Amino acid sequence: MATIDGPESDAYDVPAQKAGGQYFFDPGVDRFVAVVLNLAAELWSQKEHVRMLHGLPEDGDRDQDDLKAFIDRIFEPLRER
Amino acid sequence: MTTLLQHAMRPEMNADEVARGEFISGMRSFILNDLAADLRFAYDKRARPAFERSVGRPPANGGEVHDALRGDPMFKIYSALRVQAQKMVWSTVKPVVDREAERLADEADKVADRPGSISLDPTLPVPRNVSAIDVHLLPGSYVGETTNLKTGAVYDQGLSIFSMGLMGQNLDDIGLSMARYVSARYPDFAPCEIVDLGCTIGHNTLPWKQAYPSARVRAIDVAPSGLLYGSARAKMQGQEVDFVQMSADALAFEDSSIGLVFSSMFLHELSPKVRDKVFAEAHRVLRPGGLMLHMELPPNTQMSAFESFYLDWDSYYNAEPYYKGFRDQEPLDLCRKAGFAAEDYIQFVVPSVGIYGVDAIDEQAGSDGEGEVDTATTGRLADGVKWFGFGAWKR
Repeated sequence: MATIDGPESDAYDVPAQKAGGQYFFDPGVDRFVAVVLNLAAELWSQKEHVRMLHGLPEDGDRDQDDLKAFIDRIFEPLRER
Repeated sequence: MTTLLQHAMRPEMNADEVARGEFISGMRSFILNDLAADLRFAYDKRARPAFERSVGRPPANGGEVHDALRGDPMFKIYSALRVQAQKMVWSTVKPVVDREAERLADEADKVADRPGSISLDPTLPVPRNVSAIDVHLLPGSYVGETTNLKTGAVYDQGLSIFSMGLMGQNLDDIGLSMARYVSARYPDFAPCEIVDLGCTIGHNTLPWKQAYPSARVRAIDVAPSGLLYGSARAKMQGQEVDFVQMSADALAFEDSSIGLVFSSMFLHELSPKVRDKVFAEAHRVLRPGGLMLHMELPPNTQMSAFESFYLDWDSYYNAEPYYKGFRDQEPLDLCRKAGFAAEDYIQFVVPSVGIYGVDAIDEQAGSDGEGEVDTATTGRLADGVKWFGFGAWKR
């Protein structure tokens, strides 16, 4: 948190970007990144629903491992190595 | 590690919301660990060699690493995903808080008479470097709605998801670790008056009350919404803290009246001019023998070029425009400029109490060294979690 002063009287060290910036040449690609992440979040939510419907008990460590494996499977094509 | 807050002043989330929060937290972990390693790989494999061919030497600092990497596909993938995950932190939490706002207000009313206080100053303008920037890409920044608990609640639950459980169940790991280190390393130090600057919701203020129960602890900030929430949050945890709307560069305290002036993750959100005023004010209000202590990001001068770039990413892409400028400064110079003596300067790296335990902190406090500040021990690419602290004693 901050105090008195601001952009008019004291320049930023780097430009403030409210939207977080654009990374790909075609800005549509940045939007699709958002769509993919949103879809993955919803899919994980549904998987959790299914797990509950099957009456599987919660297990913090195993759940974390499952989530990690889920993310790894979906985003593996992005990996460099 | 849970992404759900464990204290009473928390919004109740349904199963879908919990799952979304867990996913975002897991996604951030994937980005900050797996993709960060790939980013380093891409730098070593492509960006640095290309820079060397062009300039005749490797990148010398974080800025040059940034220049070398920004066109690389891995940088684009890393940055785009990280920004989107950051936005999802807030977009997931806000509807929860909107739904829970009335209940949270009722809960706050129930504890209003407990020890502790809140004092707001409607005449204090919220500065533009708080109100004009969506810091951390949080819409409305720390200001939001100024007359209710919502903004503080969004920050609290959002930070819990953002931090991937690494800041403790009450998001107080920094405060707990710092307070434990100070009390163990300086057992004769017993401040009667403690002030936490830029406290937001006071999550790292409360540990100081626990470490020094007889001290009067005040948590100050310019944004009223976080103070409103923080006061209720503290009372629900049985912590007597006075929350005051006050600017850290104009402290309403007498000269030589405070034993400990603390802040956490605060200085990097200030302009250089204000930062200097904050240090000067800390020096003014401290008693002789008092301590100014800041938990912050480690300075670029003590990090490798790549690590400097990696930490400064937030300055460019997470709406933290003063972040890099702060990290380019020398903490010792800031202290000296405010009137502290160079020989009274301290800095250390303290292990996270939540990860390493109290014994590790006590061992660190009792050792001759105070912890090396380098890529291996501090920063996002380091193993584990350790916090950087610096400050100075007032003579």
